[in-house]
Amino acid sequence: MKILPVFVGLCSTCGRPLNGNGDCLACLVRIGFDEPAEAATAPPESLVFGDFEVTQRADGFYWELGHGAMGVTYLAMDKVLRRRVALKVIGVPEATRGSQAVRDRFLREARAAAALRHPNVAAVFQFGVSPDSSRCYYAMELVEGETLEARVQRDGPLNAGPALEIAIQITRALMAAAAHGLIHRDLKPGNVMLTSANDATTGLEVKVIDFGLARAIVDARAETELRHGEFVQPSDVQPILGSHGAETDLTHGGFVGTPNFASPEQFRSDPVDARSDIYSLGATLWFALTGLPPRTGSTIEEIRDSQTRGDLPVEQLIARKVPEPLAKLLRSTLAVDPSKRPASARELMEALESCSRKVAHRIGIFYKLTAFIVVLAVVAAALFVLRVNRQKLTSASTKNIAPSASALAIPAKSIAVLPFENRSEDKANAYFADGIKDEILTR
Amino acid sequence: MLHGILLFFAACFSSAILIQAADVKVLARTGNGRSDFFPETHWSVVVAAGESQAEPEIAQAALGELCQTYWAPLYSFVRSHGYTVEDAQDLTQSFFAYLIEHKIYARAVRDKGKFRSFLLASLKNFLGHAYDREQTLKRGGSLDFLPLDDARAEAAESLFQTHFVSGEPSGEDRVFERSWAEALVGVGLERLAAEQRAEGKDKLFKQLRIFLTSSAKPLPTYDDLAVRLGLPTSTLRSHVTRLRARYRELLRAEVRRTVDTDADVDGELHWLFRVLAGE
Repeated sequence: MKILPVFVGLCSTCGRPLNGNGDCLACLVRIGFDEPAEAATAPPESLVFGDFEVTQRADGFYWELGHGAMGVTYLAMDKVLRRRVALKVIGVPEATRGSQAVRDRFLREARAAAALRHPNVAAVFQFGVSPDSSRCYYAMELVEGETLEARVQRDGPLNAGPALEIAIQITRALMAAAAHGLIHRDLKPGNVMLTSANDATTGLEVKVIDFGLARAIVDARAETELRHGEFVQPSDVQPILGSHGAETDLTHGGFVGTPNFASPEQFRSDPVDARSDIYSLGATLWFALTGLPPRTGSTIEEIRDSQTRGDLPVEQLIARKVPEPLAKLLRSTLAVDPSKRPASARELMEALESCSRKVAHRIGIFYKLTAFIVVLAVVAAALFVLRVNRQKLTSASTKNIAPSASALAIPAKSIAVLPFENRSEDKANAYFADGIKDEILTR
Repeated sequence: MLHGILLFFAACFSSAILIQAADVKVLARTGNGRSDFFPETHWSVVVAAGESQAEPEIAQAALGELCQTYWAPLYSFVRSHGYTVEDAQDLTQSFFAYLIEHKIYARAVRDKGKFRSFLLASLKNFLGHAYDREQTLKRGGSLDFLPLDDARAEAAESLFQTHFVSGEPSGEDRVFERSWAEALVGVGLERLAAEQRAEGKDKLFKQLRIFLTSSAKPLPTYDDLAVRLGLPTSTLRSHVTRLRARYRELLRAEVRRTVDTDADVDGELHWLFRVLAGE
C-alpha cells in the first residue's frame, strides 16, 4: 500500500509544508531559539482617555480586566478623583470616525445607562469619545471579583440555593432598570460579577455590568458590523458566523446580544422589552445550574432553530437534580413567546422568591431528616450505655460485692450532654435548644 | 418523647436555613492563579538511575511520564517499518515493557545526552531482536504500564499519515524526527492554551494563535486585526509578544525534560529545526 503524506499547504511565513493541523512546525520550533522580541521588554506609551489613565503592570503592559470582540476593559486610574475604575474602550472603525450620528447615538445611550444607580448594578461614572474619534470609552465602578461565567467554569455548576440568590439579585437590578426604562440587552454569565458581600447575611453580592450599554457599544461600531457582515455582539464572546443570508438579516436588523443567551425576539429583530432580559436571565440561571446554556449551536441558525423548536434540554436539569419548582420557573422564563414569560421584573421577583422558599423547604426537610437520624442514633447509643452501666451495678450488688468508691462516684462509662445552641435568627427559638437538652437528660 | 422529636424537627429546620446561608458564602471566594505546568521529571532523572543516583521506582516513573508524551513518534517509527496499525500498537506498547523489564534505562549514559536518541536506539534494538520482542509480546506487552486509549492511538496514526513519505531515504528516521518535533511543539501549545483558558483568554488565544503557528494564508496585519477585535493596536501587539514569549518558555521547558543539561536545549532545538527545514 502506498501511503501519501497529508498535504495541507505551505507556510506563508517560511514556505515549508504545514502539518495536519495547518500549523508550521518549523516556525513553532524556531520561536524556541529565537531571541525574545525587543517589544516584549519595551514599556508601551501611557494610554489616557479623558480623566482616566490605563494602569500598567510591573512588566509595563496595560492592565487588562477583560476583552472581547467589541472592546477591551482596563484597570485605570481616575486622575481627578484618585480612584480606580474599570475603563471599557471600544474601537471605532475608521469609516465612521467622522460620523456625528454615531457619536451622538453612543453618547445618548451611555448617558441613559449612567443615570442608573443600584447596589446590584456596576455604576457608570463617565463616558466619552477620544479626540480623534477613534475610541469610545466609559468608566465603570471597579468590581473586585469574578464573573459568573468564570466561577462556573472554575468550580462547576452551582446548587439551587446559590443560583437562586444570584438570580434574585440580578432581578433586583432589572427592577431598578425598569424604573429608568432601561433594558440590558446582553445579560449573560459574563456580565454578572460575583463579589464579596457587604451584606453578612448572604455572603454574596452580584453586580451586573454593562447595563444599558449594549446598544451604545453597537452604535459606536454599527458601521463596522454592516461593512464586515459580522454577527454583532457587544461583549466578550467571539462572533458565531452563520450563512451569509442569516448574518445579513441579523446584522441589518440591528441584533444586539450574545447568541446563546439572546431572546428569540432579538433574533427576529423584533422590538424588545423587559421580557427579553427575563429570557436572558433564565438562560443565565440555566447556565449557573448546569454549566451549559440552554440553547447551543455552532452557528446562529442552529441556535435559532433550537429556539424555534421550543424544546429545552431538560435532561440537563434532571441530571443536576434541579428541584422541580425551579425547573418550572426556568421553563417559564425561557418561553419562546414573550407573553408566556413573567411579564415584568417584579413578577419574576415574586416567582423567584416563591421558588426560593419552596426549594429552601425541600432542602430543609432533607437536613431535618439527616439531623434527626443522627440525633436519634446518639440518643440510642446513650441509652445503651446507661443500660449496660445499670446491669453492671445490679450484677455487683447481687453478688454482694461492694462497688468501689470511685466506681460509685463516676460511672465507668458516661455521656455528657452539652447545651444545644440556637443558631437561627429567631431568638424565640432558644427554648427549643433547652428543650432538647432536657429531653435527653431526663430520659 | 414525642415532644422532644418535634423540638428536634424545629431545631433542625433552623439549622437547614443556616446551612443554606453557608452554601451561599462559599460563592464569595475569589482568586485566580496561573497554573504551573512545568513538570519535574527530566531525562536526567532517568540518566541518574543508570548511574545509581536515583531509585529505580523514581526513574521508572519519570520514564513512564516521558514515554506517555512521546508515544506517537515511536509508534510512527514502528509503522514506517510496514507493520499494521494493530501490530504497531502492540509493538510500541511492548517496547515500554521491554524498557522497564530489562532495565534498559539503566544503560543510558550521560554522554549520550538525549532522551530522543536513547529511545530511538533502544527501539531499533528491540525491533531487531525477535526473541526479546516475542517474549514481551507473549506476556501481554505493557498494557498495564502505559494504558493505550483510542484517542492517543488515533492521534498517533494521524501523525504517522502526516509525516510518512513512502520511499523517502531514511524514511523511518525522518518520520520519527518529524513526529518528535510535532509532539514537542504540541506540548508547548497545549500548555499555553490551558493557561490562556485558565486566565479566561481562550477566545482571544484562538484569534492570536496564528501568530505562533503561521498558516497557509498570510498573517493579518496588527492594524487590521486590532480593528476586527476592537483592541488598540498597541494592546494587540503586546498580547502577541507575550504569547510568543510564554510559548517560548513552555517549549524550552519541554525540551529541557528530554535533554541532560540546560546547555543542551538550544542544540536540540536547532537540530530539530534543521530536520524540519530539510537541511
